[in-house]
Amino acid sequence: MDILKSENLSKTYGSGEISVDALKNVDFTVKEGEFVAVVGSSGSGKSTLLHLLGGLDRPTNGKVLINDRDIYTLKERDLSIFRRREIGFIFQFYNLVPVLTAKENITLPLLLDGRIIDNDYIDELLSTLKIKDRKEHLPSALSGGQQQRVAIARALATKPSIIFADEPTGNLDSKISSEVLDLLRISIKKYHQTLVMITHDEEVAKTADRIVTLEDGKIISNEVVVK
Amino acid sequence: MRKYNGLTFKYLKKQKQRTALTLLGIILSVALITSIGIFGESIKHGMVQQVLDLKGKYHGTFDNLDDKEISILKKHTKVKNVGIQTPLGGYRREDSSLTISIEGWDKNLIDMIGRSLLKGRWPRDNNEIVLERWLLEQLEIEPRIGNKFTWKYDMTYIDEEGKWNNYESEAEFTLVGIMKDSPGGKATGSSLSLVSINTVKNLLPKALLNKNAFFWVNDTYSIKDTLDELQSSLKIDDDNVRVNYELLNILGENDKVNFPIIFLIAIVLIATIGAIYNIFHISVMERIKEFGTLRSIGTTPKQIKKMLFTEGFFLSVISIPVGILVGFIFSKLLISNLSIVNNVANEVVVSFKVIITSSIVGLLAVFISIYNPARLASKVSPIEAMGNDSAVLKEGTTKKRKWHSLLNSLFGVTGKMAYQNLWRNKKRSVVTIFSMTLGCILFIVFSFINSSADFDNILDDHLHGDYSIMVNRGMEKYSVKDLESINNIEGIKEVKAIKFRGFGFNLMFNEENVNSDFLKYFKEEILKFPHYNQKKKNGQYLLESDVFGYDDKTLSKIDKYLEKGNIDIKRMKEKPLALFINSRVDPGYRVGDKIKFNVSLFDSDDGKYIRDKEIELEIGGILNFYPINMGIYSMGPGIVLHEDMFKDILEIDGYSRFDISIEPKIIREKIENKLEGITNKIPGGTFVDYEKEKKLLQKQKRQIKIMVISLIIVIGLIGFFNIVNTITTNLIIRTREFGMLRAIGITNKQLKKMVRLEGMFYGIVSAFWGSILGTILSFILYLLFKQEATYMKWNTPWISILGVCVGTIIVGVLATFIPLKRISSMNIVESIRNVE
Ligand SMILES: Nc1ncnc2c1ncn2[C@@H]1O[C@H](COP(=O)(O)OP(=O)(O)O)[C@@H](O)[C@H]1O
Ligand SMILES: [Mg+2]
Repeated sequence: MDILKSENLSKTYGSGEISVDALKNVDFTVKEGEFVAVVGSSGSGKSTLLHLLGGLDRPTNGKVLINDRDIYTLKERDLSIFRRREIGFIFQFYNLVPVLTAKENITLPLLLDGRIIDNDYIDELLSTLKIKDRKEHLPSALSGGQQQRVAIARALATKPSIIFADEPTGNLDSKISSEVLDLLRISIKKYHQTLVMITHDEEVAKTADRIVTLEDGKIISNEVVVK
Repeated sequence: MRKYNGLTFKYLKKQKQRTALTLLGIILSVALITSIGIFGESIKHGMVQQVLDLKGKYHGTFDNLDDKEISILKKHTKVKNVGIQTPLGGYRREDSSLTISIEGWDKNLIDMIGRSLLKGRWPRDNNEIVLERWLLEQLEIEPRIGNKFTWKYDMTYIDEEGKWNNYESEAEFTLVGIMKDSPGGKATGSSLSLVSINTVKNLLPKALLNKNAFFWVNDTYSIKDTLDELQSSLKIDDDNVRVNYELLNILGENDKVNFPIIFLIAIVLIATIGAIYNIFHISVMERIKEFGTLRSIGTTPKQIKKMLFTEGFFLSVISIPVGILVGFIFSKLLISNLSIVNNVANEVVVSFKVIITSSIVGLLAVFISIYNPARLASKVSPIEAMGNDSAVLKEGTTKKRKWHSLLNSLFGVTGKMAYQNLWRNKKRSVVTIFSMTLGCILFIVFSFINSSADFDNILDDHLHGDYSIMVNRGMEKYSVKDLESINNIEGIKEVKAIKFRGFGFNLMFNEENVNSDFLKYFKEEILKFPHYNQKKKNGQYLLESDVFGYDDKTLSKIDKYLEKGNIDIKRMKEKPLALFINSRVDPGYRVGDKIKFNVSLFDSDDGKYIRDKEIELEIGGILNFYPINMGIYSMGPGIVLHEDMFKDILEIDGYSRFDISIEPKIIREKIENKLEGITNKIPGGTFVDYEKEKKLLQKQKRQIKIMVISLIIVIGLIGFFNIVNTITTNLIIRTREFGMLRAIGITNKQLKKMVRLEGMFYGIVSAFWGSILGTILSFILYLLFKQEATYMKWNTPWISILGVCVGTIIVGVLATFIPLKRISSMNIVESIRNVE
C-alpha cells in the first residue's frame, strides 16, 4: 500500500531570469514500512523534494498525497497539526531547542499538541536510542551524536507514520554516524514506520530497501536494493 | 585601511533598517538629554527672572553706610551697580490695618528693584511722593497728579543710650506719580511709597538718617567672595549685611547640592547609555558570522574594534546634531506652548553649555556602549564563526532555570520556552530589563512627586481660596451674620472663618520654664523695644502673643504644618487644648506642657477694657508656621484654638478673616461686589482677590505635569525601543530554531503565543524590579525632600505600581508585534536552510 505519493511535483525558486527549477515533474511513491534512500549530487534537488513531501514548503506544481490525502489542500494551521501528528523530521543540524532539556525536546511535539505523554513509550525510545541517562540535560551539555539521537527521538515521539531525514549523519564522524543510523533503523522497524532519508553515503544507501537517485531536479533511477 | 572602513559604510547601507534604528536610538537619547538641559536652563533663567522681578536686581545690601562708604562702594571695580535707600518712616491711618512705609530711593535703586510708573514721574523735589495704585484705591486718595495730602509718619530707633525711641512727625506731600503695585503687597497689606532722598534728609533729624546700599556684583566675579571682601574692607557688622538669598540660591551660589536633580540626570544617563549599548550589542550579535569571516581572512581584532568604533563615530556625527535639534524643538514647543505670561520659564534658553554637554554625553554614551560589543566582536574566533552552528550554540544556555509546575499548567510548554528564552542571552536581557525597569522607576518616582506634591495643598500655602476678607487690627470684627450672608451668596463653595486677636493675650513665663536662647531673645530684643511697656505680673514675664480661633474645616487642613503632637479637633473644641506656633525663637515647650496666659477682656460693643484673667492652656501640638497669614504678628508666639474655645476664653464672637472659595464657572464680578460690600462694613477691612495668583499657580501645575508626562513618555519610548530591539534580535538569531519548531508542527498561533509571552515576561520582570526600586527611590526622595517641602506625604504608590505592571506588560507584548510579523511571514524551509 502506498503511504506517500507525489504527482507531477515541481518547484521553481524565484522568477524570470534568475529562476531555478529545483524539481521537475517528479512522480514518486513510497510504500508503508519502506526505507527509501535518496541520493544525488549537491544541488540536485534532494532537500527540496524532502521538504515538499513533508509539507514544509509549497510546490509550484503538483500534489503530495499522504495516506491519500492531498496535504497542500490543508490550511496552514491544519497542515501544522498534520505535520506534528503524522510526520517526523530529522535534519543534519539537530535543531534542538537550546532552552529545553533532552526529554522536553523529545516530548515537545506532544506538548504542542496538548497530548498526554506516554511515559513508557518515551522511556522505551530513550533506552532504544541509548540516551536515557541524558534526558535531563540541556542540548549544550550533549555531544553531537547524542544531540542527533535526541532529534531522532523527537521525530519518533509522536509515533508518526513517516519520517523524513535530511543527511542526518552529515555532521557526525563515521563511527558515530553508523551507530546513530543503526539505532534509527532499529527504531523504525520496531515501530513499523516509513523512512525517507537523504544521504550521500553509498554504504548507508545500500542498507535501504530502495535507492532513488536525483539529478537536476529529476529522478534518474529508482532501484530496489537486492540484499 | 580605507578598504575595511569602506566595509563599515557598506554595512551601514546594507542594513538600512538596523542603521535607522540605531540612529533613532541615539537621536532619542541625545534629544532627551538636550531637552532636560534646555528645560533646566530655561527654568533657572525663568526663576532668576522671577526673583529679579519680585525682589529686584541686587545681590545684597549693606545697611547704615555713611556717604564716604557709599562712594567707596560705588567706585569699587567689582561692583556694577549701587542703589541707595533711606527710610523716612511708617504711615499709619486709624481706619486701616495697612502697613505703609515711606522711603527715599535714588534712581539707581528704582531701576534695580524694577519699579515702574503707571502715571506721572518719579519724585525729585521736596515732599514729592509716588504711591502704589492699589494703595490709592484702598485709602481712597484721589489719583490726580498734583494732589496734596498730609501724612503722619513715625520711626522707631535706638538712641545713644541703647534705648528704643519713637520719632513722630507729619508733612504735606504732593502726588507726582503712581507706580505699579509691588507683587504680594496687597495680600499682606503692606505698601511702599517713594520720595526723593533729599526729602528724607529734610524731614528727618540728622541722627535718624540712615542710608542703605543695594548692590549688584559685576558678573565676572564670584558674588560670595566679593560680598565678603566688601564687608571686611568697609568693616561692616554682620547685622548690617543682608543677602538676596532667593537669588543666590537659584544662581547656585550657595553650597547646597541639588541631589534630586543629579539623581534624575543620572537615571536618564543610565537609561540612555543602556539603550545605545543595547543597539550596538544587538548589531554585533547579528554580525558574529561576518566578523568570523573577516577574522578568517586575516583581519586583526584591533582592526575589527576600529571598524566598530568608526561605525559608532559616523552614526554619532549624524545623530547627535539631529538629536540636539529635536531636543531643542521639543523643549521649545513645550515651553512656548505652555507658558504665556509670568511663568517659570517664559523663554527658551539654549546655552552653549547645554549643546556641548549633550554632544559629549551622547558621544561618550556611544563609545561606552560600543566598547564591550567591539571587544566581543574582536574576540570572535575564525573557526567558531565559520562553524555553522556557532551562533546558535553561543546563544544556548548551560543553566536550567526553575519553572514551577503551576506556571506550566498556566502557560504550557510555550510559556516555559518563552520564559527560558529570556535568559538565553543574559546580558542582552539584563540590558533590556534594566532599561524597562528604569522606565518604571522614573514613572513611579515622578508620579510620586506629582501626587505627593499635592498642588492644591501648595496652592493653599500661598493662597486661601479665591478671596480673603480681613481686618487685622483693632477691636472691630465681622459678625456671625456677616459670615451667614457670605455663605448665602450664590456660588460660594466654602468659607473658612478665622478669629484672631493680636494684643491683650500675653504668654506668662519665668526664667526657669523657657530655654536660654529664648530668654536672651526676650531680654535683648523685646524688653528694649519702646512699645514694650509690659510689667511683670505675679513674678512672671508677659509676652504679647497672637491667638487664632480656627473652625473645624481649617483645623482639619493644617496637618502639614504639624511638627509634633496632633490636632485633636474634638478635644480642642471642649478643652483648653492649643496648638503652639513657634515664631521667632523657640521657647522649648513640648507637647503636653501647660502654659499660662494673661488675657485682657474688652467689651465687644464699645471696645472698653473690662478686666484681665489668667488662663492655662495645654499644648496639643506644635506647628512650624502660621497656617494663616494675618500680616502682622506680635513679638511672641502664636496660639491656635478651636473657635469655640476661642470664644469661651476671649469672649469674642466675631471674625477677623474669611477665606472664601467659590464654585468654578461662576461670574466673579457679582460675587466680588457683594463681598466688597461686606468688607466695607468695617472701615479697616481689606478685600483681597487671588484670581491672578491662582491662575498662575494652576498654570505652573499644569506645566509641571506636562513636563513630567513628556519625560516619562520619552523614557518609555527608549525602553520600548530597547525591548523591540532585543526581541527582534532574539528572534532573528533563532530563525532556524523557529524553522525547526515549524517543521515539527508548531502552529503559527502557538509560535505567536510563545513570542508574546516572552515579551510579557520581560514586562513582568521589569515591573517587578521597577516597582520595588521605584518605591524605594521615591521613599529616599521623600526623605531628602521632606525637610524643605513640608507638604510632602508618604504613601506607598500602589496606583503607579499597578500602572507600571499593566504598562510594561502591554509594552512588552506590543514590542513583539513587529518582529512577529517577520517570523510569521517567514518560510519554514528558508529558515531551516538559513545556516546551511
Ligand atoms: N530559496 C532558494 N532560492 C533559490 N534557489 C534555491 C533555493 N533553495 C534551493 N535552491 C536551489 O535549488 C536547487 C536544489 O537545491 P536543494 O534541494 O537544496 O539540493 P540538494 O539538497 O540536493 O543539495 C539548487 O540549485 C539550489 O541552489
Ligand atoms: Mg540538501
